[in-house]
Amino acid sequence: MRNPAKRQIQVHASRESERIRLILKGDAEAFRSLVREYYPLTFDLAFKMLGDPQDAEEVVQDAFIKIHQALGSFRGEASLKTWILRIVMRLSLNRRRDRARSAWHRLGLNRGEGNVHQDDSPVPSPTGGRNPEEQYISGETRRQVLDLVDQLPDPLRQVLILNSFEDLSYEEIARILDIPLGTVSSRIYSARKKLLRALEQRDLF
Amino acid sequence: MNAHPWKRIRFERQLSAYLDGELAADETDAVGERLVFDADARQQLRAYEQLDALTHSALIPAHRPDPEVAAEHLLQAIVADEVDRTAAAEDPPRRHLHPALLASIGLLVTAGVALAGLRRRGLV
Repeated sequence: MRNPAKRQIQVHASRESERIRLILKGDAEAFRSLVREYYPLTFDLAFKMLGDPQDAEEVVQDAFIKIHQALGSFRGEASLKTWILRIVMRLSLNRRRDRARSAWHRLGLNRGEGNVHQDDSPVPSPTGGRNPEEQYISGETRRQVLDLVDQLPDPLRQVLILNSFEDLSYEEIARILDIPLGTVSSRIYSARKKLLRALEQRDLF
Repeated sequence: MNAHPWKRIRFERQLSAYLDGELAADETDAVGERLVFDADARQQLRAYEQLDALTHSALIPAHRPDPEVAAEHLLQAIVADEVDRTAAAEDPPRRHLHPALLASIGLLVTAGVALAGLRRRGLV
């Protein structure tokens, strides 16, 4: 259940405003602690959106520089986490569009040849298999799954990716994407449905 | 599961939100109750669970940069950016005269020199 995460956000609200105050005063340690706390989440989001660790690192770096510059304008209407993720999401979408426009990409000569995800390393199996072979989904399966996720229409892909973060509620996803709560729910359902069908067609499910 | 397509879609959507823990308490109870008796609904829920596990595993980055190192790089980048901005503010770019103004000044000087020469010779 996600409610504990929501409560945790409320508890941290005052700590966040104190940290923002310190950062605005030029406290480097306060900024360092902000980066330490949000870097894994922001990197994961950028990576899931872009599929390339190098691109993800650059987007996150740009995002934190923008965050540092714009922190004074943060009004606290959304949580700091939501605000940060909105910035990362926006920059990731821009990067994805720029990449799609590039001549290399249009000619199909981009590094991933269709699939933006570069890393074919096996990853832990969702079912937690009993022997080492069962414990990892193969690089090939992973590539195919990511390929299918990448082929989803943008609005469905975005909600699916955000929903893959356990501690993000539908409400937070709605705020990050600036869409109604009901739309989040229906898009997540549509994304699951489409992906399930596509996986079945490829005999991956 | 329910035979009517519209109702089936509505239930599947509920099931999707149920999996994410996003239903209201009464809806959660209703779905939970249905899952006890409806084998198709249980199968659908299992399919969603497996799908989520598969996609989430596939999306996990194999390597993630160290946040400590990233924080240091970011601080260096921000300090360098601020130094550049301060330097730019302290040393404003030199004002360049517009080419048309320069040409006018040149013409005036030339005309002045010519006029002085003519006066010296007593021609004006």
